[in-house]
Amino acid sequence: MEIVSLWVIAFFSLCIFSYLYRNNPFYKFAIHVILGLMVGYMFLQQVTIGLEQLVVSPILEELGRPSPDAPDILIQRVLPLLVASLIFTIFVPERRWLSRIPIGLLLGYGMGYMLTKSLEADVFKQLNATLTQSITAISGDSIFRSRWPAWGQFLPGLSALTVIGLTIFYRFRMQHPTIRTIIYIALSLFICSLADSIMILVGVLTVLSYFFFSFERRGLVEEVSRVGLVFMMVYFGAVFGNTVLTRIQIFIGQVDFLIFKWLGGTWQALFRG
Amino acid sequence: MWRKLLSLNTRYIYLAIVVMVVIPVVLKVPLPTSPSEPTQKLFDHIDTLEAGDGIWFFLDTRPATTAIHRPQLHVLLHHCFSKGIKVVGFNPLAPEATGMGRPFIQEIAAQYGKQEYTDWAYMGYTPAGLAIFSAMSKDIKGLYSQDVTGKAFDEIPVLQQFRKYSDVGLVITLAGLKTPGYWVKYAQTPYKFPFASGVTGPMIADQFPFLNAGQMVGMMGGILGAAEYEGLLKKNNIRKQFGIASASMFVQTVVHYILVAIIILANIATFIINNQDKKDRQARAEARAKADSGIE
Repeated sequence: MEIVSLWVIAFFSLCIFSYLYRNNPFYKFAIHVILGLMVGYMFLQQVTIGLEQLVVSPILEELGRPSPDAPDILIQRVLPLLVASLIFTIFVPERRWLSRIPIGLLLGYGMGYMLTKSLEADVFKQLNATLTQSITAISGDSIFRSRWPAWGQFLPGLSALTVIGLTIFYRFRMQHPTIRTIIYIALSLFICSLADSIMILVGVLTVLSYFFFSFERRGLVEEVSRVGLVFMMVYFGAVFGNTVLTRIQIFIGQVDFLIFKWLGGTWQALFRG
Repeated sequence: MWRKLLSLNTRYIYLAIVVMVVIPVVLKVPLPTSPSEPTQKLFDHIDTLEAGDGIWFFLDTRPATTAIHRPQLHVLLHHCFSKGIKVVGFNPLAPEATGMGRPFIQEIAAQYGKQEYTDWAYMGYTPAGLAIFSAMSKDIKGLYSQDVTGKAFDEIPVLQQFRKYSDVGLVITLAGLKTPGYWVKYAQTPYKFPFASGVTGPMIADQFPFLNAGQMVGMMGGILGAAEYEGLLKKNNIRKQFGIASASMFVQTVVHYILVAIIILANIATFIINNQDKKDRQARAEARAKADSGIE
Protein backbone atom coordinates (compact mmCIF):
# COMPACT_ATOMS: atom_id res chain seq x y z
CA MET A 1 0.00 0.00 0.00
CA GLU A 2 2.88 2.32 0.80
CA ILE A 3 4.29 1.72 -2.70
CA VAL A 4 0.96 2.74 -4.23
CA SER A 5 0.93 6.01 -2.26
CA LEU A 6 4.57 6.68 -3.28
CA TRP A 7 3.66 6.20 -6.94
CA VAL A 8 0.60 8.44 -6.64
CA ILE A 9 2.66 11.22 -5.04
CA ALA A 10 5.40 10.79 -7.66
CA PHE A 11 2.85 10.85 -10.49
CA PHE A 12 1.34 14.14 -9.33
CA SER A 13 4.78 15.65 -8.68
CA LEU A 14 5.90 14.81 -12.20
CA CYS A 15 2.62 16.11 -13.64
CA ILE A 16 3.27 19.46 -11.97
CA PHE A 17 6.90 19.49 -13.13
CA SER A 18 5.71 18.83 -16.70
CA TYR A 19 4.58 22.47 -16.78
CA LEU A 20 8.25 23.44 -17.08
CA TYR A 21 8.15 21.99 -20.59
CA ARG A 22 4.74 23.42 -21.48
CA ASN A 23 1.13 23.60 -20.32
CA ASN A 24 -0.42 20.19 -20.84
CA PRO A 25 -3.44 18.12 -19.79
CA PHE A 26 -1.45 16.21 -17.13
CA TYR A 27 -0.56 19.48 -15.39
CA LYS A 28 -4.16 20.71 -15.55
CA PHE A 29 -5.42 17.40 -14.19
CA ALA A 30 -2.93 17.48 -11.30
CA ILE A 31 -3.76 21.09 -10.42
CA HIS A 32 -7.49 20.38 -10.32
CA VAL A 33 -7.05 17.26 -8.21
CA ILE A 34 -4.72 18.99 -5.74
CA LEU A 35 -7.00 22.01 -5.38
CA GLY A 36 -10.07 19.86 -4.92
CA LEU A 37 -8.26 17.69 -2.40
CA MET A 38 -7.14 20.73 -0.41
CA VAL A 39 -10.62 22.25 -0.30
CA GLY A 40 -12.21 18.90 0.55
CA TYR A 41 -9.69 18.25 3.33
CA MET A 42 -10.24 21.69 4.86
CA PHE A 43 -14.01 21.28 4.59
CA LEU A 44 -13.80 17.93 6.35
CA GLN A 45 -11.64 19.44 9.09
CA GLN A 46 -14.20 22.16 9.70
CA VAL A 47 -17.09 19.70 9.74
CA THR A 48 -15.49 17.01 11.93
CA ILE A 49 -13.74 19.32 14.34
CA GLY A 50 -15.72 22.53 14.15
CA LEU A 51 -19.17 21.02 14.02
CA GLU A 52 -18.96 17.53 15.39
CA GLN A 53 -16.39 17.90 18.17
CA LEU A 54 -17.15 21.42 19.31
CA VAL A 55 -20.92 21.63 18.81
CA VAL A 56 -22.75 18.36 18.24
CA SER A 57 -20.85 16.08 20.65
CA PRO A 58 -20.94 18.52 23.61
CA ILE A 59 -24.71 19.07 23.07
CA LEU A 60 -25.41 15.33 22.94
CA GLU A 61 -23.14 14.74 25.93
CA GLU A 62 -24.91 17.40 27.98
CA LEU A 63 -28.37 16.15 26.96
CA GLY A 64 -27.35 12.63 28.00
CA ARG A 65 -26.81 13.76 31.59
CA PRO A 66 -29.54 13.27 34.19
CA SER A 67 -29.98 17.05 34.67
CA PRO A 68 -28.67 18.87 31.63
CA ASP A 69 -27.81 22.56 31.92
CA ALA A 70 -30.10 23.79 29.12
CA PRO A 71 -29.32 27.55 29.32
CA ASP A 72 -25.60 26.76 29.19
CA ILE A 73 -26.01 24.63 26.03
CA LEU A 74 -28.27 27.23 24.43
CA ILE A 75 -25.88 30.13 24.99
CA GLN A 76 -22.58 28.33 24.41
CA ARG A 77 -23.43 25.98 21.54
CA VAL A 78 -26.90 26.40 19.98
CA LEU A 79 -27.08 30.19 19.69
CA PRO A 80 -23.62 30.56 18.08
CA LEU A 81 -24.51 27.74 15.67
CA LEU A 82 -27.75 29.47 14.67
CA VAL A 83 -26.05 32.84 14.19
CA ALA A 84 -23.24 31.23 12.14
CA SER A 85 -25.83 29.42 10.00
CA LEU A 86 -27.27 32.77 8.92
CA ILE A 87 -24.28 33.08 6.57
CA PHE A 88 -25.97 30.59 4.27
CA THR A 89 -28.85 33.04 3.68
CA ILE A 90 -26.45 34.65 1.22
CA PHE A 91 -27.82 32.14 -1.29
CA VAL A 92 -31.42 33.33 -0.74
CA PRO A 93 -31.88 36.72 -2.47
CA GLU A 94 -34.82 37.82 -0.30
CA ARG A 95 -33.03 37.01 2.97
CA ARG A 96 -29.50 37.96 1.98
CA TRP A 97 -29.41 40.80 4.52
CA LEU A 98 -29.38 38.25 7.37
CA SER A 99 -25.88 37.10 6.32
CA ARG A 100 -24.55 40.48 7.40
CA ILE A 101 -25.15 39.58 11.05
CA PRO A 102 -22.47 36.88 11.44
CA ILE A 103 -20.11 38.78 9.11
CA GLY A 104 -20.59 41.92 11.17
CA LEU A 105 -20.00 40.05 14.42
CA LEU A 106 -16.79 38.53 13.09
CA LEU A 107 -15.53 41.83 11.71
CA GLY A 108 -16.46 43.72 14.83
CA TYR A 109 -14.79 41.19 17.11
CA GLY A 110 -11.70 41.11 14.92
CA MET A 111 -11.41 44.88 14.70
CA GLY A 112 -11.90 45.39 18.41
CA TYR A 113 -9.40 42.67 19.24
CA MET A 114 -6.90 44.02 16.77
CA LEU A 115 -7.09 47.69 17.73
CA THR A 116 -6.32 47.18 21.38
CA LYS A 117 -3.37 44.84 20.76
CA SER A 118 -1.86 46.41 17.64
CA LEU A 119 -1.03 49.72 19.24
CA GLU A 120 1.22 48.24 21.87
CA ALA A 121 2.86 45.53 19.77
CA ASP A 122 3.23 47.31 16.42
CA VAL A 123 3.72 50.91 17.49
CA PHE A 124 4.89 51.43 21.06
CA LYS A 125 7.26 48.49 21.36
CA GLN A 126 8.79 49.11 17.93
CA LEU A 127 9.13 52.85 18.57
CA ASN A 128 10.75 52.14 21.91
CA ALA A 129 13.24 49.73 20.33
CA THR A 130 14.08 52.09 17.46
CA LEU A 131 14.64 55.12 19.67
CA THR A 132 16.47 53.18 22.38
CA GLN A 133 18.99 51.84 19.90
CA SER A 134 19.56 55.28 18.43
CA ILE A 135 19.93 56.95 21.83
CA THR A 136 22.32 54.33 23.17
CA ALA A 137 24.31 54.68 19.97
CA ILE A 138 24.89 58.37 20.64
CA SER A 139 25.66 57.76 24.29
CA GLY A 140 28.40 55.30 23.38
CA ASP A 141 26.91 51.92 22.71
CA SER A 142 25.95 50.34 19.43
CA ILE A 143 25.52 47.00 17.78
CA PHE A 144 29.12 46.70 16.63
CA ARG A 145 30.84 49.06 19.08
CA SER A 146 32.37 46.16 20.99
CA ARG A 147 34.43 45.25 17.89
CA TRP A 148 35.93 48.72 17.44
CA PRO A 149 39.48 49.66 18.57
CA ALA A 150 39.84 51.70 21.77
CA TRP A 151 40.47 55.03 20.02
CA GLY A 152 37.31 54.61 17.94
CA GLN A 153 35.10 54.84 21.03
CA PHE A 154 35.57 58.63 21.07
CA LEU A 155 34.72 59.08 17.39
CA PRO A 156 30.95 59.70 17.62
CA GLY A 157 31.20 62.25 20.43
CA LEU A 158 34.23 64.00 18.97
CA SER A 159 32.78 64.28 15.48
CA ALA A 160 29.42 65.49 16.85
CA LEU A 161 31.18 68.21 18.85
CA THR A 162 33.18 69.19 15.77
CA VAL A 163 30.05 69.51 13.66
CA ILE A 164 28.17 71.54 16.27
CA GLY A 165 31.09 73.81 17.15
CA LEU A 166 32.12 74.55 13.60
CA THR A 167 28.52 75.09 12.46
CA ILE A 168 28.09 77.76 15.12
CA PHE A 169 31.47 79.28 14.25
CA TYR A 170 30.65 79.08 10.51
CA ARG A 171 27.19 80.56 10.97
CA PHE A 172 28.16 83.49 13.11
CA ARG A 173 31.75 84.22 12.17
CA MET A 174 33.45 83.34 8.91
CA GLN A 175 32.15 82.00 5.61
CA HIS A 176 35.35 80.06 5.00
CA PRO A 177 35.12 77.15 2.51
CA THR A 178 37.68 75.13 4.48
CA ILE A 179 35.48 75.28 7.56
CA ARG A 180 32.56 74.06 5.43
CA THR A 181 34.66 71.11 4.19
CA ILE A 182 35.69 70.19 7.72
CA ILE A 183 32.03 70.31 8.79
CA TYR A 184 31.07 67.92 6.00
CA ILE A 185 33.93 65.52 6.84
CA ALA A 186 33.08 65.58 10.55
CA LEU A 187 29.39 65.04 9.74
CA SER A 188 30.23 62.06 7.52
CA LEU A 189 32.45 60.59 10.23
CA PHE A 190 29.69 61.11 12.77
CA ILE A 191 27.11 59.38 10.55
CA CYS A 192 29.50 56.52 9.70
CA SER A 193 30.45 55.99 13.33
CA LEU A 194 26.82 55.66 14.29
CA ALA A 195 25.78 54.08 11.04
CA ASP A 196 25.26 50.69 12.49
CA SER A 197 22.61 51.84 14.97
CA ILE A 198 21.41 55.17 13.69
CA MET A 199 20.85 53.53 10.30
CA ILE A 200 17.71 52.01 11.76
CA LEU A 201 16.35 55.43 12.76
CA VAL A 202 17.38 56.92 9.41
CA GLY A 203 15.72 54.02 7.60
CA VAL A 204 12.48 54.33 9.57
CA LEU A 205 12.19 58.08 9.03
CA THR A 206 13.09 58.05 5.35
CA VAL A 207 10.78 55.13 4.54
CA LEU A 208 7.92 56.80 6.43
CA SER A 209 8.54 59.98 4.44
CA TYR A 210 8.14 57.97 1.22
CA PHE A 211 4.58 57.09 2.20
CA PHE A 212 3.65 60.62 3.25
CA PHE A 213 0.98 61.78 0.76
CA SER A 214 -0.60 64.68 2.65
CA PHE A 215 1.26 67.17 0.49
CA GLU A 216 3.29 67.03 -2.69
CA ARG A 217 6.82 65.85 -2.07
CA ARG A 218 9.23 68.46 -3.35
CA GLY A 219 12.76 69.55 -2.66
CA LEU A 220 14.29 68.11 0.53
CA VAL A 221 11.30 65.84 1.28
CA GLU A 222 11.62 64.34 -2.21
CA GLU A 223 15.32 63.63 -1.68
CA VAL A 224 14.72 62.14 1.74
CA SER A 225 11.99 59.87 0.39
CA ARG A 226 14.39 58.68 -2.33
CA VAL A 227 16.74 57.54 0.43
CA GLY A 228 13.76 55.67 1.88
CA LEU A 229 13.23 54.08 -1.52
CA VAL A 230 16.80 52.80 -1.44
CA PHE A 231 16.18 51.19 1.96
CA MET A 232 13.02 49.56 0.59
CA MET A 233 14.87 48.26 -2.46
CA VAL A 234 17.46 46.66 -0.17
CA TYR A 235 14.61 45.04 1.79
CA PHE A 236 12.90 43.75 -1.37
CA GLY A 237 16.23 42.41 -2.61
CA ALA A 238 16.67 40.49 0.64
CA VAL A 239 13.11 39.14 0.40
CA PHE A 240 13.67 38.09 -3.21
CA GLY A 241 16.92 36.33 -2.36
CA ASN A 242 15.31 34.46 0.51
CA THR A 243 12.33 33.55 -1.68
CA VAL A 244 14.70 31.96 -4.19
CA LEU A 245 16.27 30.02 -1.29
CA THR A 246 12.83 28.73 -0.24
CA ARG A 247 11.68 27.78 -3.74
CA ILE A 248 14.92 25.93 -4.44
CA GLN A 249 14.60 24.12 -1.10
CA ILE A 250 11.05 23.00 -1.92
CA PHE A 251 12.39 21.65 -5.22
CA ILE A 252 15.25 19.92 -3.39
CA GLY A 253 12.69 18.29 -1.09
CA GLN A 254 10.75 16.96 -4.05
CA VAL A 255 13.87 15.68 -5.82
CA ASP A 256 14.96 14.00 -2.58
CA PHE A 257 11.55 12.30 -2.38
CA LEU A 258 11.57 11.23 -6.03
CA ILE A 259 15.07 9.75 -5.89
CA PHE A 260 15.27 8.17 -2.46
CA LYS A 261 11.70 7.45 -1.45
CA TRP A 262 9.99 6.78 -4.81
CA LEU A 263 12.77 5.17 -6.89
CA GLY A 264 14.61 3.80 -3.87
CA GLY A 265 11.42 2.45 -2.29
CA THR A 266 10.28 0.89 -5.56
CA TRP A 267 13.71 -0.75 -6.08
CA GLN A 268 13.60 -2.18 -2.57
CA ALA A 269 10.06 -3.45 -2.98
CA LEU A 270 10.79 -5.11 -6.35
CA PHE A 271 14.24 -6.60 -5.78
CA ARG A 272 14.70 -6.91 -2.06
CA GLY A 273 11.20 -7.75 -0.96
CA MET B 1 26.25 35.74 -29.48
CA TRP B 2 24.71 37.94 -26.80
CA ARG B 3 21.35 38.01 -28.59
CA LYS B 4 21.40 34.22 -28.82
CA LEU B 5 22.06 34.07 -25.09
CA LEU B 6 19.07 36.29 -24.29
CA SER B 7 16.78 34.35 -26.60
CA LEU B 8 17.89 31.00 -25.14
CA ASN B 9 14.96 28.71 -24.48
CA THR B 10 14.24 28.76 -20.73
CA ARG B 11 13.78 24.99 -20.79
CA TYR B 12 17.56 24.59 -21.11
CA ILE B 13 17.99 26.67 -17.96
CA TYR B 14 15.42 24.52 -16.13
CA LEU B 15 17.24 21.40 -17.31
CA ALA B 16 20.58 22.76 -16.09
CA ILE B 17 19.06 23.52 -12.69
CA VAL B 18 17.47 20.06 -12.49
CA VAL B 19 20.83 18.40 -13.23
CA MET B 20 22.64 20.68 -10.77
CA VAL B 21 20.11 19.79 -8.05
CA VAL B 22 19.93 16.03 -8.68
CA ILE B 23 23.70 15.42 -8.56
CA PRO B 24 24.34 17.10 -5.17
CA VAL B 25 21.15 15.62 -3.69
CA VAL B 26 22.44 12.14 -4.56
CA LEU B 27 25.92 12.93 -3.21
CA LYS B 28 24.51 14.38 0.07
CA VAL B 29 27.57 16.41 0.97
CA PRO B 30 26.93 18.40 4.16
CA LEU B 31 28.04 22.02 4.14
CA PRO B 32 28.54 23.32 7.69
CA THR B 33 27.35 26.87 8.29
CA SER B 34 28.23 29.27 11.06
CA PRO B 35 25.23 30.20 13.19
CA SER B 36 23.60 33.60 12.85
CA GLU B 37 22.60 35.59 15.91
CA PRO B 38 18.85 34.74 15.82
CA THR B 39 19.55 31.00 15.56
CA GLN B 40 22.17 31.17 18.30
CA LYS B 41 19.74 33.01 20.57
CA LEU B 42 17.07 30.37 19.97
CA PHE B 43 19.53 27.58 20.72
CA ASP B 44 20.75 29.32 23.86
CA HIS B 45 17.19 29.83 25.09
CA ILE B 46 16.25 26.16 24.69
CA ASP B 47 19.56 25.25 26.31
CA THR B 48 18.48 27.11 29.46
CA LEU B 49 15.42 24.87 29.82
CA GLU B 50 15.69 21.77 31.98
CA ALA B 51 14.40 18.22 31.91
CA GLY B 52 10.68 18.21 32.61
CA ASP B 53 10.10 21.69 31.16
CA GLY B 54 7.86 21.96 28.15
CA ILE B 55 7.65 23.76 24.86
CA TRP B 56 4.73 24.34 22.54
CA PHE B 57 5.21 24.41 18.81
CA PHE B 58 2.67 25.54 16.24
CA LEU B 59 2.64 24.36 12.63
CA ASP B 60 1.18 27.46 10.94
CA THR B 61 1.95 26.21 7.49
CA ARG B 62 0.93 24.02 4.59
CA PRO B 63 2.33 20.70 3.35
CA ALA B 64 4.02 22.60 0.50
CA THR B 65 6.67 23.87 2.93
CA THR B 66 7.47 20.43 4.36
CA ALA B 67 10.98 20.66 2.90
CA ILE B 68 11.66 23.65 5.17
CA HIS B 69 9.65 23.03 8.31
CA ARG B 70 10.38 19.34 8.68
CA PRO B 71 14.14 19.95 9.13
CA GLN B 72 13.35 22.89 11.43
CA LEU B 73 11.06 20.78 13.59
CA HIS B 74 13.55 17.92 13.60
CA VAL B 75 16.42 20.02 14.97
CA LEU B 76 14.08 21.45 17.57
CA LEU B 77 12.96 17.98 18.63
CA HIS B 78 16.53 16.64 18.71
CA HIS B 79 17.47 19.43 21.09
CA CYS B 80 14.37 19.06 23.28
CA PHE B 81 14.32 15.28 23.51
CA SER B 82 18.05 15.10 24.21
CA LYS B 83 17.49 17.35 27.24
CA GLY B 84 14.29 15.62 28.39
CA ILE B 85 12.12 18.59 27.49
CA LYS B 86 8.50 17.70 26.72
CA VAL B 87 6.89 18.85 23.50
CA VAL B 88 3.27 19.58 22.59
CA GLY B 89 2.32 20.51 19.02
CA PHE B 90 -0.68 22.30 17.54
CA ASN B 91 -1.87 23.72 14.23
CA PRO B 92 -4.91 25.87 15.13
CA LEU B 93 -4.32 28.41 12.38
CA ALA B 94 -3.68 26.00 9.49
CA PRO B 95 -6.04 23.05 9.05
CA GLU B 96 -3.94 21.64 6.20
CA ALA B 97 -1.07 20.94 8.58
CA THR B 98 -3.00 18.43 10.68
CA GLY B 99 -1.49 15.43 8.92
CA MET B 100 2.06 16.77 9.15
CA GLY B 101 2.82 17.17 12.84
CA ARG B 102 2.46 13.71 14.32
CA PRO B 103 4.53 11.78 11.72
CA PHE B 104 7.29 14.42 11.97
CA ILE B 105 7.47 14.01 15.74
CA GLN B 106 7.30 10.20 15.60
CA GLU B 107 10.40 10.07 13.36
CA ILE B 108 12.53 11.73 16.04
CA ALA B 109 10.78 10.57 19.22
CA ALA B 110 11.52 6.95 18.32
CA GLN B 111 15.28 7.71 18.29
CA TYR B 112 15.16 8.92 21.90
CA GLY B 113 12.61 6.40 23.17
CA LYS B 114 10.11 9.15 23.91
CA GLN B 115 6.52 8.03 24.43
CA GLU B 116 3.47 9.70 22.98
CA TYR B 117 1.14 11.21 25.60
CA THR B 118 3.82 11.19 28.34
CA ASP B 119 6.70 12.95 26.60
CA TRP B 120 4.98 14.50 23.62
CA ALA B 121 1.56 15.02 22.11
CA TYR B 122 0.09 16.54 18.98
CA MET B 123 -3.24 18.26 19.27
CA GLY B 124 -4.00 19.18 15.68
CA TYR B 125 -6.49 21.75 14.48
CA THR B 126 -9.24 23.65 16.24
CA PRO B 127 -11.40 26.26 14.47
CA ALA B 128 -11.01 29.10 16.93
CA GLY B 129 -9.41 31.78 14.78
CA LEU B 130 -8.10 34.78 16.73
CA ALA B 131 -9.69 33.44 19.92
CA ILE B 132 -6.89 30.88 20.34
CA PHE B 133 -4.43 33.58 21.41
CA SER B 134 -6.41 34.59 24.47
CA ALA B 135 -7.82 31.12 25.15
CA MET B 136 -4.33 29.64 25.41
CA SER B 137 -3.49 32.10 28.14
CA LYS B 138 -6.19 30.50 30.32
CA ASP B 139 -6.49 26.78 29.54
CA ILE B 140 -6.10 24.89 26.28
CA LYS B 141 -8.74 22.39 27.44
CA GLY B 142 -11.31 24.97 26.33
CA LEU B 143 -9.99 24.62 22.78
CA TYR B 144 -9.11 20.93 22.56
CA SER B 145 -11.26 18.11 23.93
CA GLN B 146 -8.99 15.48 22.33
CA ASP B 147 -5.74 15.17 20.48
CA VAL B 148 -5.28 14.32 16.81
CA THR B 149 -5.56 10.56 17.50
CA GLY B 150 -8.89 11.02 19.30
CA LYS B 151 -7.55 10.45 22.82
CA ALA B 152 -9.41 12.53 25.38
CA PHE B 153 -7.63 15.55 26.84
CA ASP B 154 -7.81 14.31 30.44
CA GLU B 155 -6.15 11.02 29.49
CA ILE B 156 -2.99 12.69 28.15
CA PRO B 157 -0.51 13.19 31.03
CA VAL B 158 1.80 15.63 29.22
CA LEU B 159 -1.09 18.06 28.73
CA GLN B 160 -1.93 18.28 32.42
CA GLN B 161 1.38 20.06 33.10
CA PHE B 162 1.29 22.51 30.22
CA ARG B 163 -2.14 24.11 29.91
CA LYS B 164 -1.33 27.76 29.34
CA TYR B 165 1.48 30.03 28.15
CA SER B 166 2.92 30.54 31.61
CA ASP B 167 3.41 26.77 32.03
CA VAL B 168 5.82 26.40 29.09
CA GLY B 169 9.39 27.50 28.62
CA LEU B 170 9.00 28.46 24.96
CA VAL B 171 6.27 28.90 22.37
CA ILE B 172 7.56 28.56 18.81
CA THR B 173 5.67 28.86 15.58
CA LEU B 174 6.91 27.13 12.44
CA ALA B 175 5.22 29.46 10.03
CA GLY B 176 4.71 29.37 6.30
CA LEU B 177 1.77 31.73 6.67
CA LYS B 178 2.03 35.31 7.94
CA THR B 179 1.25 34.30 11.52
CA PRO B 180 4.35 35.31 13.57
CA GLY B 181 3.11 38.90 13.50
CA TYR B 182 -0.26 37.77 14.92
CA TRP B 183 1.47 35.76 17.62
CA VAL B 184 3.56 38.77 18.65
CA LYS B 185 0.60 41.15 18.53
CA TYR B 186 -2.14 39.08 20.12
CA ALA B 187 -0.25 36.66 22.35
CA GLN B 188 3.34 37.53 23.23
CA THR B 189 2.81 41.25 23.88
CA PRO B 190 -0.21 40.97 26.20
CA TYR B 191 0.72 37.71 27.93
CA LYS B 192 4.50 38.04 27.90
CA PHE B 193 6.05 34.62 27.39
CA PRO B 194 9.20 33.50 25.52
CA PHE B 195 8.29 33.33 21.85
CA ALA B 196 10.29 32.30 18.79
CA SER B 197 9.64 31.44 15.18
CA GLY B 198 10.91 29.23 12.39
CA VAL B 199 9.92 30.83 9.13
CA THR B 200 10.28 30.34 5.40
CA GLY B 201 12.64 32.50 3.35
CA PRO B 202 10.36 35.37 2.27
CA MET B 203 9.37 36.03 5.88
CA ILE B 204 12.87 36.20 7.39
CA ALA B 205 13.33 39.93 6.89
CA ASP B 206 9.95 40.65 8.52
CA GLN B 207 10.98 39.02 11.81
CA PHE B 208 13.97 41.25 12.56
CA PRO B 209 11.91 44.15 13.98
CA PHE B 210 10.45 41.67 16.49
CA LEU B 211 13.89 40.27 17.30
CA ASN B 212 15.39 43.72 17.79
CA ALA B 213 12.47 44.79 20.00
CA GLY B 214 12.86 41.71 22.19
CA GLN B 215 9.43 40.38 21.24
CA MET B 216 11.08 37.19 19.96
CA VAL B 217 13.84 35.31 21.74
CA GLY B 218 15.18 33.79 18.51
CA MET B 219 14.41 32.68 15.00
CA MET B 220 15.26 29.93 12.52
CA GLY B 221 15.40 31.55 9.10
CA GLY B 222 14.38 29.04 6.47
CA ILE B 223 16.44 25.98 5.67
CA LEU B 224 19.59 27.99 6.43
CA GLY B 225 18.38 28.44 10.00
CA ALA B 226 17.82 24.71 10.31
CA ALA B 227 21.33 24.04 8.92
CA GLU B 228 22.82 26.49 11.43
CA TYR B 229 20.93 24.76 14.23
CA GLU B 230 22.27 21.37 13.06
CA GLY B 231 25.75 22.85 13.28
CA LEU B 232 25.08 23.96 16.85
CA LEU B 233 23.73 20.52 17.78
CA LYS B 234 26.90 18.91 16.41
CA LYS B 235 29.16 21.47 18.07
CA ASN B 236 27.51 20.83 21.44
CA ASN B 237 27.68 17.03 21.00
CA ILE B 238 23.92 16.66 20.94
CA ARG B 239 24.10 15.02 17.52
CA LYS B 240 27.06 13.26 15.95
CA GLN B 241 26.28 14.00 12.31
CA PHE B 242 24.75 16.72 10.19
CA GLY B 243 21.23 16.28 8.87
CA ILE B 244 19.21 17.00 5.76
CA ALA B 245 19.38 20.79 6.20
CA SER B 246 23.19 20.90 6.03
CA ALA B 247 23.14 18.56 3.01
CA SER B 248 20.69 20.93 1.34
CA MET B 249 23.11 23.83 1.84
CA PHE B 250 25.57 22.30 -0.61
CA VAL B 251 22.82 21.99 -3.22
CA GLN B 252 21.67 25.54 -2.50
CA THR B 253 25.22 26.84 -2.94
CA VAL B 254 25.60 25.15 -6.33
CA VAL B 255 22.23 26.35 -7.60
CA HIS B 256 22.76 29.89 -6.35
CA TYR B 257 26.13 30.06 -8.10
CA ILE B 258 24.40 29.07 -11.35
CA LEU B 259 21.60 31.59 -10.84
CA VAL B 260 24.02 34.40 -10.04
CA ALA B 261 26.09 33.51 -13.12
CA ILE B 262 22.97 33.54 -15.31
CA ILE B 263 21.82 36.88 -13.86
CA ILE B 264 25.26 38.46 -14.40
CA LEU B 265 25.52 37.10 -17.95
CA ALA B 266 22.01 38.26 -18.80
CA ASN B 267 22.72 41.75 -17.46
CA ILE B 268 25.98 41.96 -19.42
CA ALA B 269 24.17 40.76 -22.55
CA THR B 270 21.38 43.31 -22.06
CA PHE B 271 23.89 46.10 -21.53
CA ILE B 272 25.91 45.18 -24.64
CA ILE B 273 22.84 44.72 -26.82
CA ASN B 274 21.33 48.02 -25.67
CA ASN B 275 24.61 49.77 -26.51
CA GLN B 276 24.74 48.12 -29.93
CA ASP B 277 21.13 49.07 -30.66
CA LYS B 278 21.80 52.64 -29.58
CA LYS B 279 24.82 52.86 -31.92
CA ASP B 280 22.80 51.30 -34.78
CA ARG B 281 20.00 53.83 -34.27
CA GLN B 282 22.49 56.70 -34.26
CA ALA B 283 24.18 55.39 -37.41
CA ARG B 284 20.81 55.03 -39.17
CA ALA B 285 19.76 58.54 -38.12
CA GLU B 286 23.05 59.96 -39.45
CA ALA B 287 22.70 58.03 -42.70
CA ARG B 288 19.13 59.30 -43.13
CA ALA B 289 20.21 62.88 -42.39
CA LYS B 290 23.04 62.58 -44.95
CA ALA B 291 20.68 61.13 -47.54
CA ASP B 292 18.13 63.91 -46.91
CA SER B 293 20.77 66.63 -47.20
CA GLY B 294 22.10 64.92 -50.36
CA ILE B 295 18.60 65.00 -51.91
CA GLU B 296 18.22 68.66 -51.05
